[in-house]
Amino acid sequence: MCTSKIHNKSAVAAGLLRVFLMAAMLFCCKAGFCQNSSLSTNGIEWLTLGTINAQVGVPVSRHVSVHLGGTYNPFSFGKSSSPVFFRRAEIQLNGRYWPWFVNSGWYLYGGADWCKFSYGGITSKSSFEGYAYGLKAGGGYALLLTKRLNLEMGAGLFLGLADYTKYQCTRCGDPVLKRKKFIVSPADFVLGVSFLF
Amino acid sequence: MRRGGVVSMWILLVVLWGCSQSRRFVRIIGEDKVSILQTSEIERNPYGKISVENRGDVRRGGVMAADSAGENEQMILSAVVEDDEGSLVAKGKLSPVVVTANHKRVSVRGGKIRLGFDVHIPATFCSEEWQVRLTPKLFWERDSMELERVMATGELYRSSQMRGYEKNRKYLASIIPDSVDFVKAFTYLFLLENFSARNFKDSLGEFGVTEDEAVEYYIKHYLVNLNNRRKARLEEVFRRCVKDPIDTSGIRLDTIIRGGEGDIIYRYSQDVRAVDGMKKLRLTFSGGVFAYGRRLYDFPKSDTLAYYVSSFSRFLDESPLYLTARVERDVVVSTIAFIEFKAGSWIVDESLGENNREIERIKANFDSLQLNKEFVTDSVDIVSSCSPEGSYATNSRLSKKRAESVKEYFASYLNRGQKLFKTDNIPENWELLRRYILEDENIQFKQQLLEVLKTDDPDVREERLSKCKDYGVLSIRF
Repeated sequence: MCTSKIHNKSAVAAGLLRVFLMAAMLFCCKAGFCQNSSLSTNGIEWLTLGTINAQVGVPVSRHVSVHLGGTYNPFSFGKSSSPVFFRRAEIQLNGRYWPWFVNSGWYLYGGADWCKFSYGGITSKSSFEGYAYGLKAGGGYALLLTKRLNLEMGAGLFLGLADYTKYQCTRCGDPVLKRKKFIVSPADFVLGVSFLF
Repeated sequence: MRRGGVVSMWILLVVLWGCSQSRRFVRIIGEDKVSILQTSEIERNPYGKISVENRGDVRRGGVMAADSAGENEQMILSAVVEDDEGSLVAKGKLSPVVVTANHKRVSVRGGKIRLGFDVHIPATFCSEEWQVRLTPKLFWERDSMELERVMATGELYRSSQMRGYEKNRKYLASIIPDSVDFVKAFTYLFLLENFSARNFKDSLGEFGVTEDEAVEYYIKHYLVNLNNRRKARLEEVFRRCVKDPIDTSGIRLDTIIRGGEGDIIYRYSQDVRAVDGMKKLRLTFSGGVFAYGRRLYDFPKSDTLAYYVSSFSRFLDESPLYLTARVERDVVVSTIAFIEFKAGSWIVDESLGENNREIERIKANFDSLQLNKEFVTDSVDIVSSCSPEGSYATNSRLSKKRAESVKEYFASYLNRGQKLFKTDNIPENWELLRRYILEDENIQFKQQLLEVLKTDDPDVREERLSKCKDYGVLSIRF
């Protein structure tokens, strides 16, 4: 049994949530909520085993906005003997460049990302646990649905270091592989909505 | 060719009469009808064999369009059959378009000549796919005038034209007109409205963005460009869609033929304004057969219809019965007035000496001339002169200025402009002085004075005169 993973789950989640909320509050207070500040969530993340996610964006100029986002997934599905889970706690800070106007039309983004993850049972019986950090870059489009609502679409690329351990199964604590490697992977597939203040 | 009586023309007739009967197709049809046919196409193909580009329907036995062999000329054939060798051979006799003038002599009525003729388009030309165009042209002496055209348009031909117009109309409908609201038509209005609602509280938006910038960003540039391209291609598309526009100008008749089973006879009547020299009018016709805007055949140069114009005015004796002559009489009214001037001055001073009386006298003369209905004052000559006192040169300049001064004075009075007046001057009026010497009884030594007057140089003459005994009397009187 990988008790260390499971038993520490609640403590880690609570800790990350606290960190994110504190960072978000600090971010919002520092930047100050103004017109075109946004609160977004990504529908694709929600569909990824119910990953809770939110992102706060604050415009700093006509073309630039700064976004602080976090995702959190404490859930586990399936039988207790062979659960399926994609537990994550992730914080990202990025800046977006809007060629036309903040929260309107096309944008490019780039920023930093930190993620602690534990997933398994999805494509195989193995599970992986570790963390990753690095840089993200990508782009997207914000469609103005209403005065207050945007539909956002986008995709990006993650470049960073992953430090993880591979376990033979989702319930056992037998590590098969422990490694640290540089990874480049697609990331941030976004199809979500933004609420504009 | 025989001329006379009622003349008609066979505008078009192409006959293939087997293999050996190609001759000059100049035929006399009855007493009043003359046909002239262009036979060149046939003569170039003595065997009567031609390759046929079938644009008609052989089976219906109607008129067809064909290209003559080796030549790129259009021909009209009545029917085509296949011979033993498999060649297509034109057969049959084609009825011509006939134009008949019902009256050879026309008369002038109210300054106009009414020409009349019948245009007979036979059923063979009344194809639904064709249009027969006929343009009459009138000649007299060296002038000519094109009359309004006659057209016989097949129903399918017209349908084809209308389809072209319909295609063009659809194209026009695809163009967004300039009159529409540009923002509504050419922008992503939905996005623009949301953007404006979000960022504009007044004319200046968040982060200094302006309304113009917002509109510019949300313009559908592809649509603007597409629309501009469509507008630029208007003429080209019209030409492509409407290969044969419906002509509505200069047309007397444009009839639509349905079925093409009957002849068309149109009685053409045209009033022509009679002008000098219109004794004989000649009428010719040109035109052709068209299929969907393409000229199938040009009618050969037609014979001429001749009209003889009869007019009562010819019988008129144009020699003049009476003449109105204008007789001019020239009358000259002359008067001498003595207007005094101060020494060396040329200003007319009414208060000086007897000037007022003299001026009034001249004015009275002018008034009487103005009131005279019999004569017209056409010029006033003013001649001024000075007394011999002073140098001749000075008197010459002074007399000129005084003449001009008097001219201006009376021109102002008559109010007829200065062009009426002409001026001249006599620097020193010795002749007048001589007459005074002769007439004045107070002068005792007249002979001495008259001798002095014979001196040539006026200044020497004046000096010598001043030394005479009667000079004192003379200077007072003159």
